[in-house]
Amino acid sequence: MSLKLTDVSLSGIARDRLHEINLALTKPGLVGVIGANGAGKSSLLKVIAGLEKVAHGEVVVGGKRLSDLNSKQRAALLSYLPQNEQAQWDITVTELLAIGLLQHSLGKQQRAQRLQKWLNYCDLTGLAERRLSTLSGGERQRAFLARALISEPQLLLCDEPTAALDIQHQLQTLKLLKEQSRAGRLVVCSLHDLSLAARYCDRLILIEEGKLLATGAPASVLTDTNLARAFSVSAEWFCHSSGVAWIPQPLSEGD
Amino acid sequence: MTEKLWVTSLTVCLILLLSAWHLSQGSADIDWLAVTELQRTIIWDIRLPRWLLAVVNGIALGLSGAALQLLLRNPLAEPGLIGVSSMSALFTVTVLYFGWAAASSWFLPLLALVGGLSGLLLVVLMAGRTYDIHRVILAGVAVSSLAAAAMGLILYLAPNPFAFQEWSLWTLGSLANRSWPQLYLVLPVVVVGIALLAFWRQLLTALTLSENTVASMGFKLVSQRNGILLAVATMVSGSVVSVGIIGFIGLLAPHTVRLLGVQHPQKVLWYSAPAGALLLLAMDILTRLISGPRELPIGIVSALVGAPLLIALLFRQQHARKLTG
Repeated sequence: MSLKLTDVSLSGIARDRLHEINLALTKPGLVGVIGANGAGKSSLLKVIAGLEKVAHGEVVVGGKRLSDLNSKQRAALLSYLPQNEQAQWDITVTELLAIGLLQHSLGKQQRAQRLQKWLNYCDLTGLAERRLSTLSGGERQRAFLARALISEPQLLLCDEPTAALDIQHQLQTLKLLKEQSRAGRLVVCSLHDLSLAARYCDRLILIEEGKLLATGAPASVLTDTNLARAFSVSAEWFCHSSGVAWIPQPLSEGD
Repeated sequence: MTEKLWVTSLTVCLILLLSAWHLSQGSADIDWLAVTELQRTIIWDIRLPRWLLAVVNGIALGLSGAALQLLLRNPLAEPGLIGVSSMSALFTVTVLYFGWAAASSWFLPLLALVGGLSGLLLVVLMAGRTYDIHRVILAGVAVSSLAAAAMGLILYLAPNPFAFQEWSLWTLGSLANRSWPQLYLVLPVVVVGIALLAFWRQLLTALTLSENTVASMGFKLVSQRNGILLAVATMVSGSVVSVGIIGFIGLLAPHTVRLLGVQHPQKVLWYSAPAGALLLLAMDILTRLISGPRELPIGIVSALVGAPLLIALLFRQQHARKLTG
């Protein structure tokens, strides 16, 4: 699976929400989109998902121009999980996962097998008949993620999948996304926690005011210069065998 | 007992009970074991079509209410919200007022259907090419107000003192003095509406999730939304032309289903059909029980029962929000 953005711009009211983004992701992996609030992370994911019409440029997913695909062809390639997904009606976990298969023509047996596979995979078997209102925040997020994965897309887009989760569920969610990337999918997700992004992501995309500031391996993106420019902070990094951690400090005057 | 079996058994029992009660109601005493020729005529030409009209209109209103609640993601939506019933009633009153109904027996139902669909067209045009449910609701309120104002103007300028009676007949709804012709009008229109709804039903399930998610799943939100609105407009127009505007059935039917613990959109949608039929049968029975020699319009009774229930639902929703923070 490959993803290529060429000169992509998205109009906004005061300024372009995205401005001339050029990006090429050629291998499966977990890719983190980072940046300050309002930098354009969600807009970038929506453009890739085909939910926002670009003012300029083109998006190519799996070698096909997104603008040439109809809505069903697009849905067969990619899946999108928005930030803070909510269910309007209090359905069960199984019923939620089945929504992810509504546009797929599967036989009754195949459908049941697919449901069981993703219930097992996302550790939801014991919660299958529970209503969403009875689940914890972490369990609910896992169920929404399973809904996005059940169509078995080549490209998975998640907008802040760890937002509002406690640390245990943040780790569980990122582990699940990492496993999916190892299974051959391209997973692109926006993240706020830079330590977790550095630890789990194969590649980072740093956005500042709608422009691509840096992209590459976490160590090459999370430099002092980039952090100062994108977040107006300086950082002290600590390395450990299981990952890295950082302590951010506001930039002092003169920095 | 599974949910499906429990709901089906309860529905069948209630329909049989209410149908028997409904068919036995009336000024003439009927000896069901030895029916005379006159009694047969009363049953065949008065009671049976009235019962069927209650069932068919209840199904149409129940389905329309559920479809709108699921489409607009708003549990307080009902068929009157999108302006179709008001526009249909406006066209009906206009036809009756100018005496055009005599031209052809198909003129009145045809124009009522045209009225309902033109109301829908106005709503769709005002809602625009973007998928914004708030715009649909606001457009519906605007069209309803416009239709009500136009009806008021026609009545104000009416030289005929009986114009108000004609107006009240259509805006308050009634199952009285109806027979087979009204049933022949509503039945095919409702069947078409149900077929359209069945065709676009999956969008209603998908709309459990956010609009962005649904769009990313391959649904064409705007065109499929318009398809469901067309299904609702068809059923509501058919209902208005046969029995006038009957409020609250479309609002209450899906809530009755949800009170039984049913939450899945498809189940709420299709169970709302028998729930609507049951509610309209019950309202008609109640109307005749509390009416004096002159029968009350059923719309008044459904509003008298439905409005307090709506207030209760609002309080329940507010209470649920407090609990979930």
